[in-house]
Amino acid sequence: MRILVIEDDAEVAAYIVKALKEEGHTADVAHDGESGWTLARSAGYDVMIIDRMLPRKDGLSIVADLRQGEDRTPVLILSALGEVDDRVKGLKAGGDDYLTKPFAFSEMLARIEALIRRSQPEEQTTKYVVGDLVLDRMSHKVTRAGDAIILQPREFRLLEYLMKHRGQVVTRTMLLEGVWDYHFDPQTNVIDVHISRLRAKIDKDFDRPLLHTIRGRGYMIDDGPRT
Amino acid sequence: MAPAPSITIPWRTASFRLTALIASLFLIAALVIVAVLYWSMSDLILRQLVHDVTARAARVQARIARLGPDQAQSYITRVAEADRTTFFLLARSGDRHREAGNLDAWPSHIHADGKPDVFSFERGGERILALGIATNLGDGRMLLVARRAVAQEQLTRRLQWILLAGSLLIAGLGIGAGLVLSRTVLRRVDAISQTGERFLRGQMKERVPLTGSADELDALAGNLNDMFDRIEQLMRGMREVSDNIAHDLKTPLNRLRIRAEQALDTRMSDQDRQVALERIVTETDEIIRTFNALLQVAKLEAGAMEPVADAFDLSQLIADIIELYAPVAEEAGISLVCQVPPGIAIAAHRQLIGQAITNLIENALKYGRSHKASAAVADVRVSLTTNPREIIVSIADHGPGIAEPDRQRALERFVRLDESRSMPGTGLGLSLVAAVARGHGGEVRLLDNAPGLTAQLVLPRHLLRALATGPSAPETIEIA
Repeated sequence: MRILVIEDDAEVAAYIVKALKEEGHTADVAHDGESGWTLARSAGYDVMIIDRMLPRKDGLSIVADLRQGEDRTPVLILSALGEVDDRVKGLKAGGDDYLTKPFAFSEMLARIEALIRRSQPEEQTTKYVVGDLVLDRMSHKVTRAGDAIILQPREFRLLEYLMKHRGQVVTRTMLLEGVWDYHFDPQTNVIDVHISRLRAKIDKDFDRPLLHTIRGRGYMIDDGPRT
Repeated sequence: MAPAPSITIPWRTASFRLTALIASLFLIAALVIVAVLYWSMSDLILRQLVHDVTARAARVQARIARLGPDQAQSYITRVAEADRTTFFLLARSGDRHREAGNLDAWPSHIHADGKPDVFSFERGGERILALGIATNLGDGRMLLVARRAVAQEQLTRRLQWILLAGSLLIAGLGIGAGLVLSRTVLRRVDAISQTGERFLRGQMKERVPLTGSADELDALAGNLNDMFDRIEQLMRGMREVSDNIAHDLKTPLNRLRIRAEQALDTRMSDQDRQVALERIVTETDEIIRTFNALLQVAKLEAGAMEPVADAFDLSQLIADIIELYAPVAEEAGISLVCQVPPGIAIAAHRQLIGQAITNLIENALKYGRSHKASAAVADVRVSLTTNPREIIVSIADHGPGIAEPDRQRALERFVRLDESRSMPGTGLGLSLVAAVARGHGGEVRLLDNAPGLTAQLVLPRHLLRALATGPSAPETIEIA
């Protein structure tokens, strides 16, 4: 994947690029809004990471100008402004996701992965399958190795979200936002409790666990060996 | 900042200038009235005079017409000598200016055209005003018949006097009123500005005394006092924040530093170092969280919140939060009881209200369980009620509660009552709830749940809205 990073803090930019390269992506960097805008227009990027406050041309107007030109490349906006209204403004300008500084690096990577996945053509499938776990989005039925598993509606949505992002790390914040539509920040381990309940239902009676905890990052549902 | 100069000179005050301006306007009005009066009265008087003079002139002419020239002259002389003060008669012939009569000279602008004219002349040091009619008697002889305009002279003199006295009166009253007014206003303005000066010098308890007259100066003083209250509150808040940052933010930073130093220790095993680094990240997250909460509280308290036009389903939001926390409560051995009627919608910041309710529920779950005595009734009751003035979200627990004297303090930033020092948390939870409530024009109430604590998020009833169509759709900003 080709990723464009527009970030004026050289150290943060270098760190992001290094991490993206380690994940197997290629990344270009621009340190100000104008050169970033020039690169962004040249197109050919799969995802862009744009800081909100940039010298010469601010991040939001880059995104807005891109959208004006019918460029639908997924954009993750980084910002030190984290208030409710700031976030809404960022998404209204055409950003696909909004991350407030300071952020955990794993959080950013997980969100980039999600954006890359989203830039692929949308799956038309009505069923998500991970190993022998099957979730039917139409009938709202879940089975593992053919046995039906009874889930509460919210547990179903949680599992659906995890399976949609199978093979990717999903952070607690992403789950709060994606499953509960919460943009505020709980002090307790509320997500962990829900995950452990879900795990009890889908993994408990089986030898091979599918729902993994990725320490310090989040959760991942995957059939492969745990990494 | 240089202190504002104290105003002591009355004629430099706005109230004095205003009074002077009004007095001048009155003076101009008086002048106009007197002028109009003068013109209309003198017109009346002149008409009367014209009538008299015309009749007299006609009689004299008729008489002269019957007499010969010599007789006429002696007649004129006789009549003229009979009354030298109010009735004037003068005959001239050709270039001889004076043939007979009681006037010294023919007035320069009087022509023998038979029309009445006003003229004046000096006699015995007195200026005499007269109205006369001059006629041509033939043979180049002319006759002037005139009468002194006594009433006209008196009218002019009197009006001049009235005008002078009136002007002095108006000016005197104006200046007097201006001085009195400006002294009164000055005293009050001085009181206000001196209070401001003392406040600026650091006497934060100073307030402007109100006179109770509810006039504009009182309104101004009231507003200033409100401003002083706000400034005092902000200053106190700032001092508290810096004190508390020093304590509550430096402590975890210090821990962070110690852990980082430990991780640098070369004798540490790789596994231990991994653990140390993970703890550093956790510690950093904690600091960031504290910092975010602090910023949010500060921002909420700093300024007025923009009113929200869009309504959301408060009942649904509470139900969602309870659903999110039910498993956590269950694990803690607490049952979360929800008493929320459906369909109550309010126009407010959904996320802020959500954060506030979340904080209250987390508090209840955190502190509500540590009360051993009544473990049997370890439930947390969340209810939503409305009354004619308020919308109330109550979260009642059976924990140790908060002692009456500590309740107000519990809402302040970073305050962690001694009982909770050992629990994790930033000490900002309740103050954020309080800031959110205040931002929406409401408040937080901490009540005794006997035993336990009832925390209420109280919002003004005017935020209540009718639900548009059925239950409102959740916000549709989907992430990935």
